[in-house]
Amino acid sequence: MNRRRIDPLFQFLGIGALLFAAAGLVRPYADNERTIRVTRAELESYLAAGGGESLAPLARAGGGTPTLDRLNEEQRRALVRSYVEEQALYREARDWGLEDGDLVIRRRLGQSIRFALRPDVASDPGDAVLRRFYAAHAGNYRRPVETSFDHIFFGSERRGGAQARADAQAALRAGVTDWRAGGDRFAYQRSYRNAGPSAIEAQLGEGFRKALEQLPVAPDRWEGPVASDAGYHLVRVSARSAARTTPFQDARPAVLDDWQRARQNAELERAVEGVIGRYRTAVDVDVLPLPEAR
Amino acid sequence: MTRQYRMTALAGVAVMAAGGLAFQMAGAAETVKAPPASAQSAASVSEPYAPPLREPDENNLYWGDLHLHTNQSPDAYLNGTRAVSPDEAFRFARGEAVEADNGMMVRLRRPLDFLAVTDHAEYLGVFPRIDAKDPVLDGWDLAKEWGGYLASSDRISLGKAFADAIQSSDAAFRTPEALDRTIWGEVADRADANNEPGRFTALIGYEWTSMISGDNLHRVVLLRDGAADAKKVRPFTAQDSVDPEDLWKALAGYEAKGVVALAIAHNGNVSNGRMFSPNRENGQPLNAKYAEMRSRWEPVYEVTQVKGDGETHPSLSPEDEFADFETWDQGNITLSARKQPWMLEYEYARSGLRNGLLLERKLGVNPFKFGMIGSTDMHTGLSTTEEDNFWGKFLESEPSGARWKEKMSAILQESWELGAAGLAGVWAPENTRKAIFEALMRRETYATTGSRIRLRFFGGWDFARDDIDRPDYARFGYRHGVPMGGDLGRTEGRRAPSFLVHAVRDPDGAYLDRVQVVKGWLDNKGQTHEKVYDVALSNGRKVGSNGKAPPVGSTVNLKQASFTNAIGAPELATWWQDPDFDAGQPAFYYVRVIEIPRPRWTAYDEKYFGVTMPGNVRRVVQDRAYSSPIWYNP
Repeated sequence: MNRRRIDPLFQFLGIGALLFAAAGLVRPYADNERTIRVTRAELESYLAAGGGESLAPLARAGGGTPTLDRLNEEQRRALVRSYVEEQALYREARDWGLEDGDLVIRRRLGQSIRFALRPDVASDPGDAVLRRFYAAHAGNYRRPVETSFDHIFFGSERRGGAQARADAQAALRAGVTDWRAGGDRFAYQRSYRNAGPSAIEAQLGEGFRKALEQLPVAPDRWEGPVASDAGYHLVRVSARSAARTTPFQDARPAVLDDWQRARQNAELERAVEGVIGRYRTAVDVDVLPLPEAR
Repeated sequence: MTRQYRMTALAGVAVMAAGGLAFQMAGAAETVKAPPASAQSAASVSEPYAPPLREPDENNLYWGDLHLHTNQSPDAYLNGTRAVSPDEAFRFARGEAVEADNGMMVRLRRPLDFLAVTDHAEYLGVFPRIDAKDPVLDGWDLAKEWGGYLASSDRISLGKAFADAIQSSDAAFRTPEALDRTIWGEVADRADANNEPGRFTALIGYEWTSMISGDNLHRVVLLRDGAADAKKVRPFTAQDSVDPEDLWKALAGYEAKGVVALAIAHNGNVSNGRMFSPNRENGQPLNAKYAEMRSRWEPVYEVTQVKGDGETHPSLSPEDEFADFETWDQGNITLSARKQPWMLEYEYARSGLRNGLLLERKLGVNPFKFGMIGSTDMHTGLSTTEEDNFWGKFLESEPSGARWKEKMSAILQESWELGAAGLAGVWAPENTRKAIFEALMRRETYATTGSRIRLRFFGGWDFARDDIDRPDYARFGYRHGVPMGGDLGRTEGRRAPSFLVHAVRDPDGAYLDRVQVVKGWLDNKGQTHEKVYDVALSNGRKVGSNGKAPPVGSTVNLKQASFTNAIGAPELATWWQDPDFDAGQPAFYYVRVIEIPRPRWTAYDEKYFGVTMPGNVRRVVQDRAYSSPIWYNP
């Protein structure tokens, strides 16, 4: 198994301060490239980070910081061997330039530095800025139509499609008294409260959802039959709230959060551009018609 | 060639996440005092439970997660959950798209109906404030010291200081009271701001993080009411005590101030025999007082979540071919001590329910009379339980081609072992804090391992075979029997109890393989037993002479990470009567619903990221639901 640690590159990139956690992990190059120095502190932080495999839990017996004191000489020997092997192979691979050719390493490091470059945006820019943002992204603060309704189900599987429809019509003509006792057992809800279109579609199908939206709000009147994926329904709509945009004051916390994210992303992109800007890009002429130099 | 690339920002916190959070016994051996007289008498728990008729009188099903961490939890923050705060967690649960800490946008296929954000009570909300140099920390030397380590990247010193602090009962290591109240007040206010009665319920809560020698005894604490109430109390921490009896006393103290709360334990599977132990933490055998307090304050148990399933273990239920499900049995939560075979009996829900019957005979009260819920315990602020939309436990297990082998908190189990679980299903008249809380108190709840299987379960003495075909069987069930979580009461010479069971598949998910009733009982010699009955099978299958039903088969195509609903059934409904009923023996009955096989999240990862995992990685899953039990007591 070929294990690699990416920390020295972080240090090289000079972002140790942001990645506070990275710094303590490995400092293998303090002396020189061809010497692998093994200190107690190195080994203990190596264990704490999950190195040493089965030795790590032993060194942590009782559940604290791992300490070499819990390992006997033989275990320490194995630990040193695994640490040294990992370091040697890692450095050798680096010397061979293997990480340069490894797309996964490049991407992972790129992802990590993006994470590190991401600025903290915690300020509140005030209502004026947020209202502009809210207006520009009104679609994000819309709520769909919500319906509250009861239904009586006549199942096609049990009665046959045509009969289910006829039975529903007959029940409607006869007048509904105890609605819960009418029709057949239904798999999902029989009473929906403030249900959005996706919940209704998942349980009753798209056709039912569309038909439902056309029914009048009349808490005392049964309508139908309305067809669903499973059969026919008598439906009583008790309330409907139209699709609407949440007023700014109610949406403000979400707007602030979205604004901060947008700002954070913009600053991150700027930071990434800044990093790119520190490099000169030379593109061969057979790649792009107009070679661009930065 | 396998390689391991570790984001060092994550690896660095290994000490805190695993070793550091291992709270040591702090004064747990001291004599446990009697709870204050204000603690509601537990006398009511052994009385038959008669559900009142409610309006609407069939109740509705609501889905939620009662155990979720955000950047306010120290281990979540130090493992990389920086941007996802409780506000994002609520918005995500309500169906909005949010940005995960790995930079990807994520949203749920279907929103949740309720959510409790339950960050660790110990150093709740402290680390984001240290990083942000929040002036509320001014004057707190510990935060100053830690802030210095953070600023100078001195991870080792931070780790040592943190480990010292959370293992100490020294007041100098506590979050100062004024600051703790400020932070807790904000936690409560954020939940209030996200609570919208009738549409979305945001419960106020926290997690009490007791670990004794690395053995998990964690409890989530939930409050019934809003921020005004919450601010009358403070979170009880493992620095206050690691003994659950002290937690219950603290909750009784809440009640004396008019603040109503309950506690939910989880992960018995990493408790190394402590979760359903027959002994108290002071080493004495359980007594009636303990049993009363536990059943009073812990009406439900979180039976399934990301760190494995806790229904039963294959060695406890050798006859049960579905017992080995997302099993985690290596050791305790910090992996500082290996599992011993004797521990298992005291770690799983089914054996806990069985031993509860035995203890009730001894003590007069059943300490383990709990209903079931599932929840996630995600530490990313993102409550995800779908196999094809699973966002892991920490940042290191958020989607990537390598996440399956990233160790949890850098040193624990490899992430492929994480389960995309679980959910809490709650039957309540409306979606409000009070209604959800009361359903938990009466245990009219159930657990799923992630999918939204709909499950109703009624028990009674007079149900007829065709009562399940009534359109209003639920109303009938409430009127003539008890729902899940209830007590059957005495037989009065009648025949065996019968049950109405109705299971419906997740509209977005897999068809159902079968519905089972799990029965546990106590015989006259003081031995407990269990038996699993297949009560409804899909595809016309029958139970054979060996007592087993043939398997449902599989449509899983691992290469494509796909399956079809060509087998199984969308809906299974049945009436069932206990054929082995003995009116003299206490018993419990709960329902287990099993889905047909489908690709596990690891299989979706293999396909999506084009990676290949080793043969020991689980790739197929049969998600399931566990109802709360219905008890019978002669």
